[in-house]
Amino acid sequence: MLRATGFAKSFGDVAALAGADLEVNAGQVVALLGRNGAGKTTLLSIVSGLLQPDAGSVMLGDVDARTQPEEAAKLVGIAPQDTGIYTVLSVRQNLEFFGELSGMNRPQREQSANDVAEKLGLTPLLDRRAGQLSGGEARRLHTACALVHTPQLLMLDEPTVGADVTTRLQIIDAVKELAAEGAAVIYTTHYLPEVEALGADIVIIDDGRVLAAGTQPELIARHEIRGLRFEIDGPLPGGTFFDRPADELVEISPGTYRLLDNIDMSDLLAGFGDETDRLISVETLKPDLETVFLAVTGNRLDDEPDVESEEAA
Amino acid sequence: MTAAWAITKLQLRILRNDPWFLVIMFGMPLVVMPLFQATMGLSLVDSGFSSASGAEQVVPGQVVLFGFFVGGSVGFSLFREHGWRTWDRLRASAASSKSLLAGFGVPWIVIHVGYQLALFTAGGLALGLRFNGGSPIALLMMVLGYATCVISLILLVASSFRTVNQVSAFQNVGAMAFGGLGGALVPLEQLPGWAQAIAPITPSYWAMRGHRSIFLESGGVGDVLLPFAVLMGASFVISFAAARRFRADETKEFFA
Repeated sequence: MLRATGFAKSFGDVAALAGADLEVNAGQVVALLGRNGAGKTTLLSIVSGLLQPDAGSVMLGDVDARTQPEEAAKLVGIAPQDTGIYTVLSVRQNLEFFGELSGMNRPQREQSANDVAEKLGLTPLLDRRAGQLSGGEARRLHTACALVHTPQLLMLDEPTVGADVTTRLQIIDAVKELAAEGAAVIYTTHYLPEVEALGADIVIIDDGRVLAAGTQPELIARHEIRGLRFEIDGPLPGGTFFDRPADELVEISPGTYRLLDNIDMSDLLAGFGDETDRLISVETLKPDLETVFLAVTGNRLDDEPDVESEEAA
Repeated sequence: MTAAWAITKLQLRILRNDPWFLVIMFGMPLVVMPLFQATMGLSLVDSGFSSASGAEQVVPGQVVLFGFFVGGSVGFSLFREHGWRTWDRLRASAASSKSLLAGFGVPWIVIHVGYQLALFTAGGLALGLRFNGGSPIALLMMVLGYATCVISLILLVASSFRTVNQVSAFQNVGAMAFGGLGGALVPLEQLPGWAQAIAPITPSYWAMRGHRSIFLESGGVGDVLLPFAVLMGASFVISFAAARRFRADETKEFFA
């Protein structure tokens, strides 16, 4: 459904995307993972036509998004990161407006508004003013507005930010249902359990480049790392055990360290020598999406990026 | 066209949900008109219109003055989409830039025409304004010409400015400056010579010129053709400039 190749986009001197490729097929859910500022939103903005790339091509099926933007727009639904709804209109009016904007006639948009509301648990709220919705309900409406014209490619940019558990589950269920119906979905999030719940394929992006892509089991097998995470009181003990390269031993927060090496707890305790009483906690890193992300990017998903790349994206 | 029509209906629906701006803009001139009617009557008599009541100046004058304030709403409605975070959703839809511009501009032209006609009717009834042989069709032409010109101008300003405060400043200063220069506050002949000389650069001047012709000189369609043509011609040029200047991907700042 989506074949994007050689995406590049710079803002001034800062390259937000540097030659990224992305392919998403009908019925496939792709979770786009990256830290803040990695280039995720820039990528979604280019695919949806909100930004023009400096280089690269975007094909949606047979439609070239750069030369046929209006045709492409009909195939794409996007729910941007910030909630954007008309608070003075009812839920139904919001849904029907976005349907009409995409060229649906009245019976089509009425039917679609009802269907989408059903998917996202908004049916009892259809006649309520959007301004009277709770945060979670507004978030669901925001997502629903992207679905109402039944897009072939749906892009949800952190759809569950600030959402309650019910809203998260409803959005995840709706995404699964849409994919089962044949839609291609790109989903960005910082919550890895959501990615697991979606059973999504993964694309990891960092510094504007796609670093890895594949199914969850493939990536876990390919990028399995071993190591420990430990917390100590005070500075690291002296000695050769902790004299390691920066990408092997990282202080991920004050007093908390990640040690990537093929060692076990007894090795670590030996490294502490007679200072083991300063060790507060130790855990073994299990191979999962978090360790995959760590292995691929060298950072945790919730690590703060540098300021420049944050501003760029 | 479907997208432009959808946005048009959206504008009307939003206005229906919150009509208070228009209600206030309708009520305020009705309060001001009687305050200045007698003074304007004397001015018109001084200018040679011996049977004038003052309504012939004060009603069209307040319509033209407050009409500029009302026209500013089209700029506000555009910027409001940025504040509501819905602008990107509109842009990501199948709507072209021209459809977006038309969807915001056209309903406000219709609203502006309705506003002016309602104010002429109410003000006319309250202050005894009569056509006295002037043409209602000519009035419709002038109302349409002024509405189109003001909305086009505000769209150009909204396309060019970055913040809603800048548009608001233009709306307020423009209403007073254009209204004053164009003869909406006092009859044109009462203004200093330099003001009379530059008055024709304002849409208010041409609107007031048409209205004076209708209400003071029993003007018909032929008598307002020139001011109507000037307003429509200016609208065409300004709309073209607005369409050229309008960049849907430009960041605009609302109050938020």
